Amino acid sequence: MARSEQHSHGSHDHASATTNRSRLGWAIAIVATVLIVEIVGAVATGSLALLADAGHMASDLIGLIVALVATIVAARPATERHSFGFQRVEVFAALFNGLLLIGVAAFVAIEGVSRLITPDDVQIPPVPLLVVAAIGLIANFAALMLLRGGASSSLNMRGAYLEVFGDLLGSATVIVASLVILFTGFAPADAIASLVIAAMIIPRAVSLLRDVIRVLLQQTPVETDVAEIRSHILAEEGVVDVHDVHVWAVTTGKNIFSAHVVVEPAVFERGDSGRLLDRLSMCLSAHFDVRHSTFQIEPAEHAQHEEHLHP
Amino acid sequence: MGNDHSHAPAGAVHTRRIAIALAITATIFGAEVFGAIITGSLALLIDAAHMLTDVFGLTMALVAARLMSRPTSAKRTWGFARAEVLAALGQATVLLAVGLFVFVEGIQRLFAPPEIASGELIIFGIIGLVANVASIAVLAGGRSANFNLRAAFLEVVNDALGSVAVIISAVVISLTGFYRADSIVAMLIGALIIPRTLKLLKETISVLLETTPTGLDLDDVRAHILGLPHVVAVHDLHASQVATNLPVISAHVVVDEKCFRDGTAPAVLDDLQKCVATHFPVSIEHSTFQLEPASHAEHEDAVHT
Ligand SMILES: [Zn+2]
Ligand SMILES: [Zn+2]
Ligand SMILES: [Zn+2]
Ligand SMILES: [Zn+2]
Ligand SMILES: [Zn+2]
Ligand SMILES: [Zn+2]
Ligand SMILES: [Zn+2]
Ligand SMILES: [Zn+2]
Repeated sequence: MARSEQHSHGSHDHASATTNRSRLGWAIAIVATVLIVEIVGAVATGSLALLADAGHMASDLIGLIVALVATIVAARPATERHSFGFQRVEVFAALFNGLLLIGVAAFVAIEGVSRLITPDDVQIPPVPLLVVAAIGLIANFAALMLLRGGASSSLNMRGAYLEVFGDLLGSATVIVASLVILFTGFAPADAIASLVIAAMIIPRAVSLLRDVIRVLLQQTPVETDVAEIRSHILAEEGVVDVHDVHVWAVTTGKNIFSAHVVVEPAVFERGDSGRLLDRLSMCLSAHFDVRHSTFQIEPAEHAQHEEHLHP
Repeated sequence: MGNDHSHAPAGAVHTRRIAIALAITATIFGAEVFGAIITGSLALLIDAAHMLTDVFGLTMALVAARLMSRPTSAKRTWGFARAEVLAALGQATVLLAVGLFVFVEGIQRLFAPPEIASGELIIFGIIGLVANVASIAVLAGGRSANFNLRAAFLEVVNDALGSVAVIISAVVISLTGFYRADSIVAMLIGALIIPRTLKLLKETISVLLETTPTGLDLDDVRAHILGLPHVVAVHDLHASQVATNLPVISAHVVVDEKCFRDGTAPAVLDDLQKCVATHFPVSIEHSTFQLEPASHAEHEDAVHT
């Protein structure tokens, strides 16, 4: 395993992985601090509302910690048991965060609807509580800015980002709703705010989960056009047919490709299969950004030895 | 080219029998959830959760063959093979959540047992038992016919035992007023289900993590490959499991330069594929070997062992 440092799945930018880890670390520090402040505040004032928000922060913190642990595990080198390495762990972290987000959003939405149906006496949070909500807002905003840079780099970072984004929306709507109630007396503002949060979070969480499931089901990555790859391969000189073309991703952006390429007998006779392989590998990495490819170049009669073939 | 990744056992699949058993089981599941709510019985709730496993198991038995035989497409180059694994993960997660809930709630109830509507509980228990016996009868007709059906049969027998336990606790409650019986039975059923669930969870996660198939030692495979004639080196050796019956392997194999000139390369390829298909406890029919001359390495930017 001496060469594992240059393993192909490390073609990702190691620098960006380190940055993501420190981004998550700082976001965790911020959220944890706010959580502690809220718990202390809740104990000191006996405020249930504050405790409820602390609960929210705690779910956030768990999500961020899961994301951080995943980035650490993902950096481990490949082993014989896990020959593709551990980057798939990040996809699991995103799955966890996506489900957590949907759970929290659904809970908030149900609460909101039930308060719209049976409006109980809405308690306007007193000024100190508004101040705490504002602190939460600022803290979440800071964490969000930290994570925003990495959000597009992996599903895991996107999950972490959404987690904080949901919380930011939460703090913001609490403040806006309280101010509306304070100045206009429009009581349903509070419940409507909950529904707005849910409406903004759920579609984002669902889209994250859709991408997660695409990876877990080994579907073709969105940006990859298999028909196009196939036609490039078939266009190479000497290629007769291609079968068992498979493209999937260990995690988004780490695409794995394999195919069986049937060639004319002349290719083997001329001793050209090595050069054909060079051309195929270069085609894939240059035209399709697939770095990890395995081409089995075979003569037509080889198909007889193969149990199951498919397009 | 019409072939695909279907590895369903040959012979008639007793689709109709399974479909009937599924309809019955799904109905009991609904009835038991309803029953758990109105009677307040934990035992009925965990039994319903167990029933969900069977609904799932029977659904898989019914649709798996069909779904897995759907042709692969440009969007899904592995077809739907993985769907089975992800669905099993979902099922295991639900079961585990219900199991944990039953344990936490059950322990609380041992200290302060709430009243259980034992009369209704007996009725729901009997409905469950009767329906289970009905599915057993339906499935038993084709029991020895194939392995799939046998597994489904065993699952339903297992379930009937759950219903019997629910009935016993309901009888005990109505005779003695010993309300704790419900929680005890619930936790007993839970204790039987949870180890199985954890095992399933572990297996599905390991497949989804692209772990080397259980029973396959990649070091051993590497040694075999290196031992073949003309082979110089191996790199990028990867094995994983797309679905239960579909282990796959791929590797880059560096062979003597002259193999590419004297036409030996196809023979080396045959040797490689035969090796992984026949020499190991896990037979891998789906393999892809890239034979390369040593000079190819310069075209590969990232290589690993
Ligand atoms: Zn790496
Ligand atoms: Zn294939
Ligand atoms: Zn082939
Ligand atoms: Zn090309
Ligand atoms: Zn197959
Ligand atoms: Zn590799
Ligand atoms: Zn190579
Ligand atoms: Zn061998």
